[in-house]
Amino acid sequence: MYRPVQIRLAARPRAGVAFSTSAQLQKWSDIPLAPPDKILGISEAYVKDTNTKKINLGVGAYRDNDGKPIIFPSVKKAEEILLAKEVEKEYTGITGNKNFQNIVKNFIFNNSNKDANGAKLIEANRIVTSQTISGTGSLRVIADFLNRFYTNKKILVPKPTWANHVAVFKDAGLAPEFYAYYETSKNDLDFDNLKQSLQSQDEGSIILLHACCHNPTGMDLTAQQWDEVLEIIKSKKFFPLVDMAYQGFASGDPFKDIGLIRRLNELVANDELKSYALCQSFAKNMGLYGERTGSISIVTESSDASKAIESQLKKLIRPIYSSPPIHGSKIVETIFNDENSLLPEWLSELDAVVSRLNTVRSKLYENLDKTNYNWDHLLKQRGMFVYTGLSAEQVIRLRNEFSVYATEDGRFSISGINDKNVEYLADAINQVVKA
Amino acid sequence: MSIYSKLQIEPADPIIKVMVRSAQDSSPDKVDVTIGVYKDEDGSSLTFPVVKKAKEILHTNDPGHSYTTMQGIPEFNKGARDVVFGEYGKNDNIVTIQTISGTGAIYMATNFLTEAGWKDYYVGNPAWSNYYQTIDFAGGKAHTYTHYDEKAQKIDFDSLLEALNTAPANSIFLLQTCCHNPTGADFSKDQWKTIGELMKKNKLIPILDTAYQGFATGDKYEDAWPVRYFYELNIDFLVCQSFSKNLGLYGERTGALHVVVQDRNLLPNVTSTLLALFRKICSFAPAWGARIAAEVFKSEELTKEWDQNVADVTKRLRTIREKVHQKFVELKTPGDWSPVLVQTGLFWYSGLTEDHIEQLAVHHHVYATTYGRINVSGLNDANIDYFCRAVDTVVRGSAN
Repeated sequence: MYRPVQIRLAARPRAGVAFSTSAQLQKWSDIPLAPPDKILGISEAYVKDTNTKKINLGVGAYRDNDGKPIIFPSVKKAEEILLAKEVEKEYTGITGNKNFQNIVKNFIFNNSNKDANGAKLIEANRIVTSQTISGTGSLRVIADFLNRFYTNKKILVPKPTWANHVAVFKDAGLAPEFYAYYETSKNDLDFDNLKQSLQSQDEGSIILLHACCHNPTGMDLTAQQWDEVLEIIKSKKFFPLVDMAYQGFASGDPFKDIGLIRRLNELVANDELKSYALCQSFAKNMGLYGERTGSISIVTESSDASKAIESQLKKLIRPIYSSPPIHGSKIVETIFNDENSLLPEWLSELDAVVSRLNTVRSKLYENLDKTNYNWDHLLKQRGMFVYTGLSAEQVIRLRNEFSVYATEDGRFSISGINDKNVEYLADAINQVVKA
Repeated sequence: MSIYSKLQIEPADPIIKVMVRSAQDSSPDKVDVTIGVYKDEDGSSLTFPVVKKAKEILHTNDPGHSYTTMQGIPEFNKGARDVVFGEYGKNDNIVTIQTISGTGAIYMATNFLTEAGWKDYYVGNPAWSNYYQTIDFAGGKAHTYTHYDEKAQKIDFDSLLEALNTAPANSIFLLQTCCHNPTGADFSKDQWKTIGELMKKNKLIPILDTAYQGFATGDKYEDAWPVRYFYELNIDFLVCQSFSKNLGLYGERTGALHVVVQDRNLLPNVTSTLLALFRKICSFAPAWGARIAAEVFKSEELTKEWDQNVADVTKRLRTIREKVHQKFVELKTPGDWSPVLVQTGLFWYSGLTEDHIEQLAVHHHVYATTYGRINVSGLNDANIDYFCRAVDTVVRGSAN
């Protein structure tokens, strides 16, 4: 059956069965060898490289100062508790465990009792939350959902954005279109064009917003800039879809990083905005990457709408994977249920992680040669990445001549940098910039 | 007008309604045999002893929570392949991708076949209802035949034969290898051979769904015989595998899709298509359950213990079936109750009507699915007698 030519010739056309041989041949030729995912391809090349000085700046996963992945100590403690008492392995509901849903709602929308507007929305049953297969899974579910029920298929995404955003949205039947975000030649946010490109759009599109630590540029909007963008969103009746993969990585404090969510809650509470959606995951901020722990939340217009939306989410998810994996969500629940020790421990561990990233960022900046190249943008960017502005040619030279592996858009995952390799890396960059 | 005005409230799965009613019933006599999860003699959900051990190993040699690979955890994929293909698992023409358990495997299989250009599915009724939703989601078209003759209480093999003989080439047949959900009625080896020969002759595409491997005979290798038989036919086919039941990993969502490819030149096409599909749906499968399973697969000792765990579970299911049958004989309950002995696995497709089931719930605190599927493991020495008497009462009631 994977041998299209032979099989299709052998197909026995039958009355009543639509069988368009030529259409299928074309279809097959459309999908010869799907290209490997760029980021993961880089990891594979890195693994094969025998240079002892090699550096992997590809994958967006945290590494400590020794270049090793970490297990948050609070996570390990939560797992100890689970190991000792866990008896229940049964399925959760299709949208996950209620307790997990409530934790997400309270943590993000109610800002742990610091967001009165969000609290009101929760109280009025205007937030529907479903556990998902981490961030990608949440994006996929909301994309399929919007494709089914939202009036408009166009989704505006920042240029640049995480490559998989575009792939997921397209695959679900939405039509992604870029809005201006970042000007590589200036290594800065392109705010005027950002506003202009949104203003020129028709009403009613979906708009993707990165809550913080914009991927890949690391360049976020200020509160003032968000207000201006939200004004456009209101006047254009856009549907905001917020992606929050790095909550906590901007300031070190997950409560400080959700300014956009608080503003959106305020707008909804004041009836200036009807609805929005949020994708989030605990992949980065709790280090639960492989456990696939995340959620989708939809802020709705009424509790009646919530009921309908929840039932449709269930109908949508059931044929894809039935119910979400529980190990990661149980860790989250265990940590949040222990407000007096595990929760504060996790928060301080997260803060320490982010402060290491900031230290490394400054050290890289210090070691870079600023005579021919302005590196000031490094200090403005936040989160797991530096968006260097290096050209694809320069990135390839770094790979071939220095065994420094990064994506060709010049995005460096800075957690791959540490005290032992920061000077080597800076020197390599200085050399490719100079020549 | 609201942007959500197109939305209707979707009815919940009927099984959910029963579960809600059951949860509200606090009678000490309550018997709940609805959902497809194994319960032990005490009525609690079982953590396989071997799983407990694997977890302790993982806790000591903690692999952490980093991203795995998009294709899955390699040791898991290899082990999963060996479990279902036996001696053929090591062959180089099987592409394996870790999935979100059985549903995720079927999702991937159907969407993969859509990419390959094949969309016509044949499903035997009654079937697991999620098949239809998944086929629909993948843009496929479902055709039906009868798997089980409700009146005769046995497989309607003629209906399948007719479908196999009339389906156009490259039609897809979704078949369960053992412990058929919901009927518990499996094909004999002779029937499988007939199916396999027709599949090959008529150039049909089999998806073999194996969610209960080991629960039919107690021997996982024996239960996977149809998979090895299909492999020997040298045809392209797919296997959807779940460890929810036979390792009790339900909520961890642990499973795999295996694609058998005859033309080895196309192995990279198959692999890259699967990875591209997976990247756009969830990027990575969840690690934890697969790590537990991989610990079991890697260790000869744990594998042996797992074999024993599965044999023990199956033996208990068998014993309950015999006790239920014995009870009906004693009570002289009207009707033929032999199917409870013939059927395999977790489910007994009882033939009780929707009305019977309703009466069991209202008058006897006994909860089962509306279509009469009974989870045998929900019965135990403490409630078999009560359960059988309740069934006896409602059956006699409707006979009058």
